[in-house]
Amino acid sequence: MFILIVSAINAIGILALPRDLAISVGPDGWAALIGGHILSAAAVFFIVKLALLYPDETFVEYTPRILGKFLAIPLIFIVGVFWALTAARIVRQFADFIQLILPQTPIETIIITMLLVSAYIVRHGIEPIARVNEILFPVFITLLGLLILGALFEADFFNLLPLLYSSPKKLAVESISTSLGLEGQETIIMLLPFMIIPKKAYKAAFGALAFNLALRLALFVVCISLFGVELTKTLVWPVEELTRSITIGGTVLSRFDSIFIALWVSVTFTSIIIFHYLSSLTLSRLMKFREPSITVLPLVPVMFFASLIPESIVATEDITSYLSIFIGIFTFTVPPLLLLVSFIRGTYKNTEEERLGGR
Amino acid sequence: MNLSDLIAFCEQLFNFRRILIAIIIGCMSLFIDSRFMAKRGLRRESVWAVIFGCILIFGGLGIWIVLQILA
Repeated sequence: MFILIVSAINAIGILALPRDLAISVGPDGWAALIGGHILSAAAVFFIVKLALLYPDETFVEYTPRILGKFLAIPLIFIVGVFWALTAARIVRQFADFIQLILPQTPIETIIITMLLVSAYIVRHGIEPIARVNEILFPVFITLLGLLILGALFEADFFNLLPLLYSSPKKLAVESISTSLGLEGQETIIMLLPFMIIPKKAYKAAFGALAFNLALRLALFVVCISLFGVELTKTLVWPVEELTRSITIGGTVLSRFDSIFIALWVSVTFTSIIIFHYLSSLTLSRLMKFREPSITVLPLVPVMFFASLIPESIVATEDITSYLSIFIGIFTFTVPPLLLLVSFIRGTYKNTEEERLGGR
Repeated sequence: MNLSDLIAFCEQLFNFRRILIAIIIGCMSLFIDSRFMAKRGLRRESVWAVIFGCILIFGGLGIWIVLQILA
């Protein structure tokens, strides 16, 4: 679960993260990152608390019992669609990124290839997805670890000064924005029943957030200390630019950027398959299908056309921010509300009784 | 965005190559998924696979024809 959450949160957004932070709060981006992750930890607490009240059920099964079918069904449908749109957004950002090295390849080809491979894995359920994540996670860590280590030798940490120059209001706004941008933390709402030991969900979720914070802090610090705030603001993908600027082991890895882009495909892929699976699982359970793979293929054209709506990288970023706000609002408001209603109505007691009766 | 802008945008978004992809995936759902579900004894899922496939095929063709007429 730890790996799934980390993989879901970190797709392509992490490559542009230092720029977004540099534009909004300059060298104080580290403070916004810490604030954002603390806020996310609060949201994750409510998500896990709610999911643990119904450890054998997903969000799709317990929401109608808490809210009633009239409110729950539209809510679940919207969440399922937004997960599909999140996958579409990631695949589009990925296609824009890949066009750096494949400028002649039509964007449709990159997108449909990725979506069809994703559909192939998602059709086989959660186990292959978890295994793919387990296999590709070390690639992700090694890549970023090498990048950070390589950049540290050339970094000038005076670029991070002055500390806490931005106003508290700006920092608070950026912390909220960072927290809203951490899409993927809500995966636990659907995936907790698949855990062998659900009680370990807190550990996995908070561990994933802490790991994510450390990773993002390291990338922000090396980007700012290497490029400075003003230059970072002008770079489309500062982390990718970092790979062009450094050499690892003298001339052994002088073109680290080509390896980085090639291997980043696998990192983005893990994120896409998680959101594709979440969307298909949500919609198939909502429609009470006994086989969740039935919604996997029909979602491919939906994600394909959704990913082609933005006309440029700028338009994609605008849509990304709207999606982040929606998913963020959902993450911060719906689970606490469901938890409150669940306690007031006592619906979770029925589940406990059913479980005890089953034993 | 007025109506002509919307038509121009849709024409660009739903071009023939892209519609073809939706139709191919619709066929996959119609012929592969539905039979696979039927073989496993999942009758309701098989019917839904046919419905999804038909929506994709006829929806795709419909959008393309409408856009050709309007443009």
